[in-house]
Amino acid sequence: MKIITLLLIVLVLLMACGLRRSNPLDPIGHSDVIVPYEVSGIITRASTAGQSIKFYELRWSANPTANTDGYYVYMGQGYNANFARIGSVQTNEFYEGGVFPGDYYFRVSAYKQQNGGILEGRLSQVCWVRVPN
Amino acid sequence: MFKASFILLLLTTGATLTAQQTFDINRFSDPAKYGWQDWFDRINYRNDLIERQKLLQLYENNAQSVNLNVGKSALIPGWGQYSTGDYTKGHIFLGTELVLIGISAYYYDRAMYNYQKYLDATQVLEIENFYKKAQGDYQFTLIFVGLASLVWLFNVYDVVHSTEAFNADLWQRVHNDYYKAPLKLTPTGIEIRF
Repeated sequence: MKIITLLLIVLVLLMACGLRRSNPLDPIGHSDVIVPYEVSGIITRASTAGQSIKFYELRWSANPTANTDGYYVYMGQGYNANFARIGSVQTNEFYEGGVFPGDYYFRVSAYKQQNGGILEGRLSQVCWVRVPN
Repeated sequence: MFKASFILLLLTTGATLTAQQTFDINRFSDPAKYGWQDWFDRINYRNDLIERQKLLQLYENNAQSVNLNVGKSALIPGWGQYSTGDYTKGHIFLGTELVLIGISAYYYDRAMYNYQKYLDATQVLEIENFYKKAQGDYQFTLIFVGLASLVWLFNVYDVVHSTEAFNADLWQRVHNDYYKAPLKLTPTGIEIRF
């Protein structure tokens, strides 16, 4: 019984030890860090069938300026695919012209410059647009 | 004060007189009290004592120091047990310690890898995820280091008992070897027993 108690005390003490949250952008370790809100209300628009210039356009609800300096736009091949950053904008809209017809999947995140770095918020839900031929 | 000193003197004198009265010089000088019935018994006893001294010398030459074995086991777990001939325990302690330290090193490496990713991360979700991973691996490291420390402590504790048991067995072994050996080298020559 004594050995078990001793082991438990040692384990609790060990579990109490932790790594320092020394990333200056970590909101848990630094109370002054502002986390940009998750982007929502994304609306997509694409060129119509037969239109000579193919494009797609994204719009979303703008975050407060105190919270967000700009937005990153990510694109992927499907809902569960990996998304790669394709652009960065200061406003709440993104336009891409001269694209090929097909299906495109997007996610958007907000970012804010602070503590000598850029903190990016959570990625939005996946949204989808079809550019017809 | 005077009264107390007088009583003390009285008691001391009384005790001395009583002691003188009960002291028996014949009984004091009687060799039979040691179990010697005659001169041969005395010679036998003397020879036995000399042989025991020889045994003690043999024992001391081969006996192991507890402090030395503790030092060995503290340095390399199991080394002290190997010295006492307890190879199974030595294997277990050394093996367990190596495995636990190996696992600790593996988790520490993973923890530091994820911690570096956490430090480099700029996305909130990545910051959270990499910190959680790093912290989880770090706690596993600490748990296995703690277990390794406990095994190390037990190994040091055990070597004390192993050495004491070894020395106890050694005395028995030296005794048996000495008295059961058919051929003995003694300072006076070679002794053969049939």
